Order: sequence, then structure tokens, then C-alpha cells
Amino acid sequence: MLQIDELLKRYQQHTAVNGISLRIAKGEFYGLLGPNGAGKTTTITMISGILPPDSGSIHVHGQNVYQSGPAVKQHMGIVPQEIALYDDLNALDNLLFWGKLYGVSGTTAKERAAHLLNWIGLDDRKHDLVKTYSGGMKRRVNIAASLMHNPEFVLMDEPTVGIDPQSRNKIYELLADLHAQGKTILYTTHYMQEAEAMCSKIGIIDKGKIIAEGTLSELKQKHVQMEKIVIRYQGDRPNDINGYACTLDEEAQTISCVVQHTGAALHDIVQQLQHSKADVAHIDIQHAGLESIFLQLTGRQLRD
Amino acid sequence: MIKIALKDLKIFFSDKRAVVLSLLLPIGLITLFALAFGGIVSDDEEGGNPIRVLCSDYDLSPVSHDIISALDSIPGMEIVMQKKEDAIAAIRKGDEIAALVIDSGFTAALNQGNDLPLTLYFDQSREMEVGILQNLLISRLSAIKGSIDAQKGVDRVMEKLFSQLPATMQDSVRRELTAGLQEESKPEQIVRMSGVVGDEESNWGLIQAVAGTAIMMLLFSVGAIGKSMLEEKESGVLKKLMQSPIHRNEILFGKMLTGVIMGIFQLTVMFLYAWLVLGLDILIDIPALVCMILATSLACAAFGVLLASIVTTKKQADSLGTILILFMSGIGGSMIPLYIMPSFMQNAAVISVNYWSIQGFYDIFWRKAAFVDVLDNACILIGIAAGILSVSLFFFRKNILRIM
Repeated sequence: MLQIDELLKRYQQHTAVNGISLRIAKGEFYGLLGPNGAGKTTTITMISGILPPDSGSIHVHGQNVYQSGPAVKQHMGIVPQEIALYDDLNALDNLLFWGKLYGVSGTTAKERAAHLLNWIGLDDRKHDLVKTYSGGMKRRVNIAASLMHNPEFVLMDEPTVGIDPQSRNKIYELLADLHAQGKTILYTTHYMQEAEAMCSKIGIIDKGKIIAEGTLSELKQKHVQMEKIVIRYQGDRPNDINGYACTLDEEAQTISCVVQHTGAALHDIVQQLQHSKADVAHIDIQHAGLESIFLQLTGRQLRD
Repeated sequence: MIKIALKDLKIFFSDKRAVVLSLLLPIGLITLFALAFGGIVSDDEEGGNPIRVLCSDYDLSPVSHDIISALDSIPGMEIVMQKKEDAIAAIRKGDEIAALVIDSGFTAALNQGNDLPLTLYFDQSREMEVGILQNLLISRLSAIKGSIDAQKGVDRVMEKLFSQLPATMQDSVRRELTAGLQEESKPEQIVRMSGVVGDEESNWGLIQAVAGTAIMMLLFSVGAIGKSMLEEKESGVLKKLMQSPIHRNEILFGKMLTGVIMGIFQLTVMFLYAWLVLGLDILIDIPALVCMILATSLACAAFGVLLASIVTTKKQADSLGTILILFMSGIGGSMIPLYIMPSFMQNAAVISVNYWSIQGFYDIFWRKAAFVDVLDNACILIGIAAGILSVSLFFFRKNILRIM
């Protein structure tokens, strides 16, 4: 469904996307996981056809996005990070408008809008102005608006940003349903739980490069020997821990380190802490998850 | 393009209170300006306050008395007798506009053909009213002086040619000659006045108020397009529009179409109001009026999209929009009639949309111009619209479409 080769995008001295290549097969739920500023939105914007890359190529459904004209856009439904809706229109009118832009009008549009409003659970609020909706409701309409033309390929740029956990769960249900319908989904997020729970394939992106890619089990298998030691300390801020990929959270007074052999490493890390005059209050050893893998690969946490 | 315009219009008309307010403001201003301009330039003198002139008569002759009576009989002028010192003091205080002082020796000077001891004291800050007063005084005094000169001429003719006639016959001849001369020297007939444009029902001030204000307010309305486009950019809607299969330029053309439809709606409501409430005859030539409404709406809408394209923030849209609209309205004759302005400003007025629109509507309502006669104004407005739109497209691509 999507084929990207050696994609490059520079803004003056800053390279936002640095030679990304990826393949997404039909029906796949691909998660692009990375911290803010990693290049996720730039990548999605380039795929959507409005930001030409400096080099590289993008093919959707076998068509080059920048050479095929507007027809290729009919295959894509784009859910932006922003709430791209008209606040002064109601949900139904918003859906009908976005449908019209993709050539869906008349009875077909009304039926499609009714179906989607029912699907997102806002059928009873369809005549209310969008500005009266909660953040979670707006997010759901934002998703529905991108599905009016029933695209095969759905690009979602962090569609759960800024909403409460309950609304987020509702959106997860919708996404799972969408995947079950056979849609191909490219989903960007910096929440590792989302990627772990929903995505059939995950690409970890950092500084404009995909640094690891595979299914969750493939990634874990590759980094299975990794474990994460989380130590809560008391007292002064400790010195940097040498020889390990560790991050310090001064506010929570914790140090997280991804290690290969927990026994020897734990002993060494605790000794280094004691030399720093920091008292160890609590130690937690976790199995490698995406966050640990990211930490090991980049030396930083996803939220950094 | 139509889809975007329909959506924008739906948003615009969905807030009925805002729509009513957007019409009430121009209606209020049109009424205000119509009253103001109508009061100054209306042909109906009874509608305005009479100009009060103080008068001091130190000649105290029948001739000076006749002159004062004649001036007092002029419609729109009221003569109030007062001492010279008091009259000048009242002008200094700003209580009065002018005082006419007839000094002693006036009749003698008139009879001998010398300079008249007649002085008009006035407040220089009331230049316009004093100008009107001056014209009235000069015309009336010329007539009176002419009458006296004619009487003296009659006396000379009687003495030279008819001195031998019996007294009764002399009186009869004198009456005939005097009557004939008085008939010929009526003040109104010193210069025969005949207007070639406009008629009794037309009111220049009303036309100025309606056309000038309606266009200025329309510019403010379409200026809101700029703001809406920036809001769409900030909210991410513009980015999503660009991601859809429509052509990018359609976004701008859609906004333009919205502006044109809003313009047609607003101008139509304004002219209907002027017709039904203020009595402006808008049915003189419907095709010409429709042509000018369309051309004006097109040019104003183009201005709206230009504003939308050259700014990058809502604050800029607000500030620059207000500055440009007030500048164009000021220079183009929306606020002040062009004939009051100095010639260099009248020449500069042609750069504004307001000028060509006001001239077009003025041609229809005042000069009774037909459809073909307003085509040149309409074509210029369409040309301005095309030019502005080209510039807008350039800046739209440069500023607005640069999303990352």
C-alpha cells in the first residue's frame, strides 16, 4: 500500500527526515513511534502530498504521490494532529463538507455520514455545533471526517493527543475496528503503550531516521536480553552513571538504565550511586518494552 | 471552489445575530452620513437651519433699510440687528458666524458710485457657511446696486428726452421705464441658473452617503475573509484542505466567491434600505445598478483575498485591514466627498476601489447613466479585481500555503 524510498527533507541546516525507507502492506497497522521532533509529522505530511521531499520517492497504491495528480489522494484518509474541523458547523455538516471535497455527495454522503456518526457514537449530537463538543468528541469527529470517502489507507498523526484516558480508550476501540475492516493504517505516536497495544508492525523513528523496525515480538526478540532497572534514590542528585544507557528524572528522583546482565550491572550502578552520596530507596527491574528498546537505542526516553 | 464558498456562507449565515449586526452597522452609518450630507447640500433649503447674520446699520437711510429687508427675505438667511461692537464680540466668542456693518455714508457712496462703506466681519473657522453667505450677499447687493443705477439712468433719460412733456405724462413714462428695468433686474434673473444634471428628486448628499458608506463597510466585511483564512491555517483546517484532492488555488477562489456573494448581498440590502427608507431612487436603470453591484463586489472581494494572502497572523490582518480600508475609503471619497479634497488627492483617488465604485453609482443615481455608460467604471473595477487577484495568488502561495 505504501512504499517510501530514501526520503529526505531538510529545513536550512536542520534535517527533519533523513533517508527514511519503509513498506506498509495492505491491511497492516503500522506504528511510527518516536519522541516529539523525531520527524513523524514531516513524514506524514510528505506522504499526504503537500510537502515535496528534497529527494526520495513515495508511492501509495502503486502511484507516485507527487507525479500522479490528485487521484492518488482518493486512496488516503488523513487524520491530522490538529482538530481540523469547522467549530461553527455541526458534526453532520462537517462530515458532509469533507466528503464533498473527495467527491462524495448527495444520498451517498448522507448515508456515509450517518454511518460514521453512529460508528463514533455521536449520532445523537450530530446537529450540535462542534464548538460545543469535548476534546474527545472532536477527536472522534476528526477521524470520521477523514473516512467519508472510505479510503483504503488511513494516515493518523497522533490522533489521541491531549485527551483524557477514557476518550483515548474509545478511540482505540474505533481504530481496532478500522483495522478489522481491513484498512491499512499508518499511525504516529509517542505513546509506547499505543504502539504496543495496536500496531502489527512498529518503526522507531529518531532524528529523522528509522532506527528499528519490526513486529513487537521481533523487536523484543532482538532486544530480549535487555532489562530495565529503575532505581529511586534519596539525597543529592547523583553523578552520571558510567558505562550504561541511563536517564535521570530529577523530579521523580529515579534513574532508569537498560542493561544486558542485570546482576552485575545492578551491583555496579548501586555502587556508583553510593559514591555520589545518593541513597537507594527502591529498585525495580522491568522486562524490555518499547520504551526500554528506545532508551537502549537512543540513550533517551520517548518523552524527552 | 463552490463547495468552499457554500461552506463559508453557511458558517456566515448560521450566526443570525452576527448577520443582522453586520447589516445594522452600515445601515446606521448610511443614515448618519445621509443626514449629515443631506443637511449640507440638499436643494431643499427648508430642511436646514437658516444662517444667522448680525447687522449694524449706521447709515440709517431708506436705501440701507431696503437692503437689510431684502437680505432678511432671502430663504435660509436670518438678519438680527445689533451694535457693531456687540456683533464683533459675539463672533469672537463663537456665538455668531458673521456681522454685516453698513457705515454712515453708504447711500451717498452708492449714489456717487464710490466704494461702499460696507464690511462683513466673520469667523474664519466657519469658512463653508461664510462662503455661502458671501455668495448670497454679493448677488443681492449687485441686484440692489443695479437697480439704483438703473433708476439714475431713468432720471437722466427723462431729463434729456421727456422734460418738455406734461408732468402727468412724465410720471406715466417714468413708471413704464422703471417697471421695465425692475422686471429685468430681478435678483434671480441677474444670472439665469439651469442645472444640467440631477433633478429635484435627486439628492447628491444621499447618493454620496449610501454609495460611499456601503462600499467602505463592504470592504470591512470582506476583510474578515483574511481573518478566517488565518484561523483555518492556525487550526489545521487549511492543511487538511490542501491534503484533499482539490487544487490549491480553489481555496483562494472559494474565498473570493464567498466575498463576491457577501458583497452582492450586503450592497443589495444597503440599496434596498436607501430606497425604502431614505427615498433614493434605485430603479433608474436596473441593469446598470446590477452591473455596478457585481463589479464592486468583485473588486472588494479581491481586496479581501489580498489581505488574506499578505498577512501571516490574525493581528496583522486586523491592523493592516483597518489601515488599508480607512486609507482607501478616505482617499476614494467614502468618508468625505471628493470635491472637497485638494486636487492632488482627487488625482490619487483613482488608486482606490472606492473611487471607481462611488463614481459608478453616482453616474447611475445622479447622472441617470444607462448600462452602457457605467461599463467603463465596471470594467476598471473588474480590471482592479483581476490585478489584485494575481498579486493575491502569488502571496497566497508564498505565505499561506507554506505550512511547515
